[in-house]
Amino acid sequence: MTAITTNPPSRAGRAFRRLAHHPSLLIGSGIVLLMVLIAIFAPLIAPHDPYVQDISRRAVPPVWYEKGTWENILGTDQLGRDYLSRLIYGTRVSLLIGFSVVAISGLIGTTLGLLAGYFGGKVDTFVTFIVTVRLAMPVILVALAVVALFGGSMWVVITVLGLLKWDRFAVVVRSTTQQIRALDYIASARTAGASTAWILLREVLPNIAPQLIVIATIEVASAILMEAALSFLGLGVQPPLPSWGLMISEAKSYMFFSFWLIAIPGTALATLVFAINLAGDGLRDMITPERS
Amino acid sequence: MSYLLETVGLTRRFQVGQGMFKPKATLHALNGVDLRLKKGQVLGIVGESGCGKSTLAKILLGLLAPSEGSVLLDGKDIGTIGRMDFTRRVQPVFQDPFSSLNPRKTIADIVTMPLRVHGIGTDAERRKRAAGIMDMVGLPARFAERYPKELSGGQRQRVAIARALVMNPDLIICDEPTSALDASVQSQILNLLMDLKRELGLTYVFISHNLSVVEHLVDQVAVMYLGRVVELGSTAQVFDAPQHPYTRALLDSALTVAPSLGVPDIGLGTAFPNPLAIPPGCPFQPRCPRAFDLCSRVRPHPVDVALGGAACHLAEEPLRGAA
Amino acid sequence: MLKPLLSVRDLRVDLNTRSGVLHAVRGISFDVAPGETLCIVGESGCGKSMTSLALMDLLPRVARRSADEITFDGQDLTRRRIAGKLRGRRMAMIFQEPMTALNPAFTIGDQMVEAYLYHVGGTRAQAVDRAAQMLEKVGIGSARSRLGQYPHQLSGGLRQRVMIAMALMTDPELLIADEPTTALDVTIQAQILRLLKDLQQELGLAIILITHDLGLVSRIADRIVVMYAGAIVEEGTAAEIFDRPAHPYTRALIDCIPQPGKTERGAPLGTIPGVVPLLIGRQDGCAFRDRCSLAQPRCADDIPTQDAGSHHWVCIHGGQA
Repeated sequence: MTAITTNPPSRAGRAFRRLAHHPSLLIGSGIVLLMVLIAIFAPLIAPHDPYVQDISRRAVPPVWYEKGTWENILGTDQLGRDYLSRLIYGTRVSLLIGFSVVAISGLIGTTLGLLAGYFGGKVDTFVTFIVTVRLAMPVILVALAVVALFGGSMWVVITVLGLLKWDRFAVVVRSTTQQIRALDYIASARTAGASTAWILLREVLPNIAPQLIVIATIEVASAILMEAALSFLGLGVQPPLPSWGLMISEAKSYMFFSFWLIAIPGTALATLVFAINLAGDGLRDMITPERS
Repeated sequence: MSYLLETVGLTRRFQVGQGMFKPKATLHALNGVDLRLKKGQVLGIVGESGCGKSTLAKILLGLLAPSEGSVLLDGKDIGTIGRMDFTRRVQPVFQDPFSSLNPRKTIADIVTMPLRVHGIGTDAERRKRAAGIMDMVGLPARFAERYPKELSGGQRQRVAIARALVMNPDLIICDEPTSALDASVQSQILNLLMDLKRELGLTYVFISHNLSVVEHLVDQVAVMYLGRVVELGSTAQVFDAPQHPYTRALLDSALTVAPSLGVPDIGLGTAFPNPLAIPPGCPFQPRCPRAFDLCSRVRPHPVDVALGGAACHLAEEPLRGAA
Repeated sequence: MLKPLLSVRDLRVDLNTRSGVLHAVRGISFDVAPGETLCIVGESGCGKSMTSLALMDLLPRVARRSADEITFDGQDLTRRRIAGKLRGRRMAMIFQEPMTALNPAFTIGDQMVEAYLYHVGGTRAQAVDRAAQMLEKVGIGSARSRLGQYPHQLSGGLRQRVMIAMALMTDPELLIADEPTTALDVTIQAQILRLLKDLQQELGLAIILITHDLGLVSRIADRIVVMYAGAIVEEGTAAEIFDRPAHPYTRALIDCIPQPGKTERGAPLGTIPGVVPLLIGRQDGCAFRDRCSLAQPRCADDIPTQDAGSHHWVCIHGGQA
């Protein structure tokens, strides 16, 4: 470490050293990374096809039960589908929904927040108004109405959540942009002739990126939970697609006989959300200016 | 005689909310300001906070439009010059070197920003130019890849000066450029500004509340009070023989190094100038130790930008008597 | 000389930072006589503010204070119980930015009265009378109605006057003022300092004024302490420091500021090359030697203090070197 301090260390090098001081970030992002890898390589990892039903092997318990077999490590569901394989494929659904929703909502919220914070005045009044309107709408009820109109599917869930969950982005980006706008480096860019788009994208955005990353992690976790809730209510991802929320929903009638059917996807969901939040907290700690 | 910079009747009003149930009030930040500045000269602007000097800086930089009046650059209204040409010629140096540099950009990025905005040169050419400018303002080349937080206040102000110079401007608007700096750093920056002026033939508008610094650096001074120029003249005229009681009070209150003088009694009273309720007659009259009956009724003539002098009844009388 | 009101011997303030222990104040000693104005002057990072906070026990949590002696009127200020009784009562403090020192949620009257009742006692009516009396004393007209105002309703100059009135409520003997006028306009600054001087004569108040402004110091100080890198480099009366500065740092610092009438207009100002040394870890010899034009090899050794009556400096060179 002493060798590094004589030369200014590279950006990546410094980031890595700071990472080492934040174990929660390390653990959280480690678990998330693992889940992403599982989602990407699901076809290679999953021992069975998650859609193939085998009526002769219904509700086989996991391997640690007396009747469990190594054939189906986490057992099978009521239709005889391999539970581990469905869990692995379910990672895909959860992460795809989490990240897609945040991509949409982040884009909407950041744009609105930047414009409101930078221009102020009427633009700000307008954006504040639609944020208020949006906050008055209960997400689950709106999703219910939309699903009733268009039918449920993964893409409907992504679209609905993406169009609804931008409020936190807008609020935080707006207030941060207001603070940055008053700083002299924005005035310097303006006196250099920079356009508004230049200032927003090159001067303001890099300075709100840390906050954006933190909100994004919170929102990914929240979107994953919402998808699970919607699927549990039968309004989200439709069978036979493997979604953790749907798995819990399908298992609810058997919970007194086959407890693991709920416990396994429930644990997976809790672990993922916990890991994402852990990573988000760690990121926030890391980017908050150090106090000397 | 042509002037590099001229302001004609510059006026700026703001609408200020006074709470939910009161109507908005009009604040006259600037009220008919006439100034002229020749190329290669330094014009100092002094006055208390709220006198309009920051508003003036914003208008001169094109960050704010005047409500009335105009700013002329080489005789042309800056509204007709075009933003890109204007920004190439007029550049700022702000007070706080900790807020004037984007914390997420390297020093090289910050210094070359104006070039990139204007699409001048290739990446390599811009970096070369930045290196040249950084050398000129006394920044070691190794700072190019550093971030602002790794630099001291004085070094950061040098970066801000480098960024202002990178486009070869004619006019630099310095808004309290050394107020946030320690004395030993301030003298370095002031020396640098004087050297650059000589070497590059720059023209400065130098806004500061530090009268010793202004006296040291400028050729002409405008003293502002509640949005108006109340005294204008060469440094010698204004500092050696001030005519306006406000200028005198300002000079008296400047605490120069003089152990025997003690703290002066400047006789201004505790009335605080309120830009929302400018009194009739002379705006300075409520605080003026030499006010007489005329002052509360009749507004003194504004300062003649060609002749200089003070906007004060006391200064007018002998002139009238002579004429 | 009078028996000192405040005596400080070998005061040290250490700050724990990620890169090691930062010695912000490195063993300074000084006395303040009753009714005297002592100015502590220096540039940012010299330790002057840490010194004032250490005296009032207001140091940040990462800081540690140690001293051989801090006594106020013979009482040991390093003992918590004694310090708690004296602080806010016989010694008071005012800060640079009154807006951060005044609570925005309470009227200035409430704040003044509360502090008085806490430290002195008596009835509320007495405290209100005292508050109105003090506001008038600091030049605030219609004092009774001002008591009902909130801090944001006052201008910066008035707020600083209120701060002073509040500090003087308990009739203290020592006022510590940390850059009390730095945020104010020059005209207001002159008025506030004039007020402090008048009050000092009237009340026999001792003042420790901490500032970076040499001009201000020259006008108000009876005695001056010049600090550099956590240590006192020179101490003397205002005349001694400004007419016969002995330490090269004091001299260089005075040369840096333009002095109307003395410095030729437009001539280059004096500068001090280099930067303040890092305050982390030990510092042997003169901390200024890397920036000093008179530096010699023996500046790296222990530097003896030189005395000329009330004038002291820590440098190997004599007063006229």
